[in-house]
Amino acid sequence: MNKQLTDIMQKESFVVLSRALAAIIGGYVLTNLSAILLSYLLPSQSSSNVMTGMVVSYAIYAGIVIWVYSVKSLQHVWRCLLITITICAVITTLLMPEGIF
Amino acid sequence: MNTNTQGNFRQSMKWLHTWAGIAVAIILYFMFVTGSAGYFNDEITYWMQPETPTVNNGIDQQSMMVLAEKRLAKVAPNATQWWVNFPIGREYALSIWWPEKTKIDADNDGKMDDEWHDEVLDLRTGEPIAVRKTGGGNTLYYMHYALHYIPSVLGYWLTSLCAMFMLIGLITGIVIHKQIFKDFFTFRAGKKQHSWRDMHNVLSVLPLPFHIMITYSGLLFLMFTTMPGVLTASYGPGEENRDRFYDAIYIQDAVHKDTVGIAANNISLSSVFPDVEQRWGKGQVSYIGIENRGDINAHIELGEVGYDGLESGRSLTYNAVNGDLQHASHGSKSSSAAMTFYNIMTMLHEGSFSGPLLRWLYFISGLMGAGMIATGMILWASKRRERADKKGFASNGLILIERLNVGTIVGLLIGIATYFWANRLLPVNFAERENWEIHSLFISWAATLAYPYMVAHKRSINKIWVDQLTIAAVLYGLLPVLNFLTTNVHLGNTLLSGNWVLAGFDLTMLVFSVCFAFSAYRMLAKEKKVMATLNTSNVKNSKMARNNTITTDKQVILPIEKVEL
Repeated sequence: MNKQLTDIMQKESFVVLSRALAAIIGGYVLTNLSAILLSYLLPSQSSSNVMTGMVVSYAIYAGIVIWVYSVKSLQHVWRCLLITITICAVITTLLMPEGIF
Repeated sequence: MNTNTQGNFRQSMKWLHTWAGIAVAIILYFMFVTGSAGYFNDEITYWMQPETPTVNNGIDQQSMMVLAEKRLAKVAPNATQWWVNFPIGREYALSIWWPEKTKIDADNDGKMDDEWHDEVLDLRTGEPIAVRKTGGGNTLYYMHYALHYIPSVLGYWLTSLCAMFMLIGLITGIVIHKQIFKDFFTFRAGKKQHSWRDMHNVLSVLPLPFHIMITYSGLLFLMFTTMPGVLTASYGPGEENRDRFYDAIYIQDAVHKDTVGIAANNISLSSVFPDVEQRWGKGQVSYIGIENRGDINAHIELGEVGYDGLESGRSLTYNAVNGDLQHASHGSKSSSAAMTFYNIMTMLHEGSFSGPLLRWLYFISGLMGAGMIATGMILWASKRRERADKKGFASNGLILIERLNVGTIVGLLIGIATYFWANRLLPVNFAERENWEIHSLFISWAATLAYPYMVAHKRSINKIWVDQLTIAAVLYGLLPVLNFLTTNVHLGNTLLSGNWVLAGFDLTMLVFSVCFAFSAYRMLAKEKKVMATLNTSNVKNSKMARNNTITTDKQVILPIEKVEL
């Protein structure tokens, strides 16, 4: 990593913005994926599973945001977020009913 | 995973609490204030349409129905639907409404669309009464989740985002508060911010169940817009798939058939009343309507006034060709546990089931929410002001927020008062008067936001608070007077005739006025104290005196362009 980039990444405004993005955007993506997974894995019929996924999604979102802000290392936050999002995305794709799109 | 100590967790939650709150405080405050007003939307509309005839209990519903039907037959002979609202419950007028097929706009492929018309009727003659056009309480209510001047979908996203910040603020607030309680004996804040913090805590903790319910259910209301991913992942994209989902979750009454295009004579709406009154008793109908008018599949639907628990009252559906009862429903059926949760939460949010007492409690809880946001904003500023005074230098960001606080907290309330003033002062036939009512709300709010900057070089921030609180006190206090001068439904008449809804509006305005006047008085006393300290001590040498002055001239003259957050 060159020096300029390292400098930017250590600036306070960058750190604040990066964490906010992790919470808001990263959190939103992960919320959707986990709510979708939940709706796929629940045993009842699909309409009520979708409802369940939707009504709990905001609680999931809040949980992720709190987590993002409770971990000290920003790099750790992004690493965990991206890995979890990738895993969830892969499983979601595998479980997705055929002919949806 | 988490290597932080407990102390660090608390620190980061405190940081998150502060900034999640401050970042969207203005919109949240706006949402709480307008949403609280929304609990009295019908009552506000009633006040804003003073031409509405006073309810006469001597006239029974069936004779009102005959008059309404006569009027509908005259103005809407070909309408496919007729609806009538009775002046009962929170409805204050006998009103009719019907759709008319019109080309609404060119970009709709020239397709015909329904345009709805409505009239308020005189209870004795059945003739229409010209009531002034107004946004009423519904515009205030609508703004609390769709905002104004922007497309409603964008409004939904913005208010949802702010509600999400609010949810985070609540959770982190609970975390911090628990810690504060633990450290109660070791933790001492500065005196000045202490009182603001106490107030912030009281306004947050006392109605905490309300705050949590209102925030989460607010998010649920808009979840079909803001969380579409889950739906799409199971049902696929597009409107059609979405409708498939709605059909699955909402159990439809089978009686609502579509038109078949075979013409048939329909019975009169008033003819079902004997049967209805036998089931519900006299004068219990809140609305009646006919759908698919003139078709063989036409049906008449009636709703009972009042609520059964959280759910709306019973309803009846009659065949409009032969008058047979088709369906008697009692409450809605939920398709799943999640749906039940959704229904209960959204019904709790709206509070439609509540009687006068509970409605007031809702209103007050909502205002406490607004107060929670407001005291949070003030607390933020006062903490930084204390620190700045110790250093003898205030940042531009702090000065900006201090001014913004006045214009937001008092300014919006001045804006709403102006909305009511505009309702009485704009001529009844003024073009687009209902829009200008709302414009005047936002124009006056903008003025109160600008005012602290315009007078910055001559008035201290405390004086600006006094100014705006005084303006608010005067505007709210004189509303009943204005009402007296411009209408017949003033306190003199409403109190005598026992019309507690209209009298209640005027009296509430007076109470608000007293509150603002008291706050202004307190603020003035505070400012006088500061000035006294300034005068009795040597200004040059006394550091304390300078520190206590909220804004010194030097700080104030700084050009606004330089201000950054």
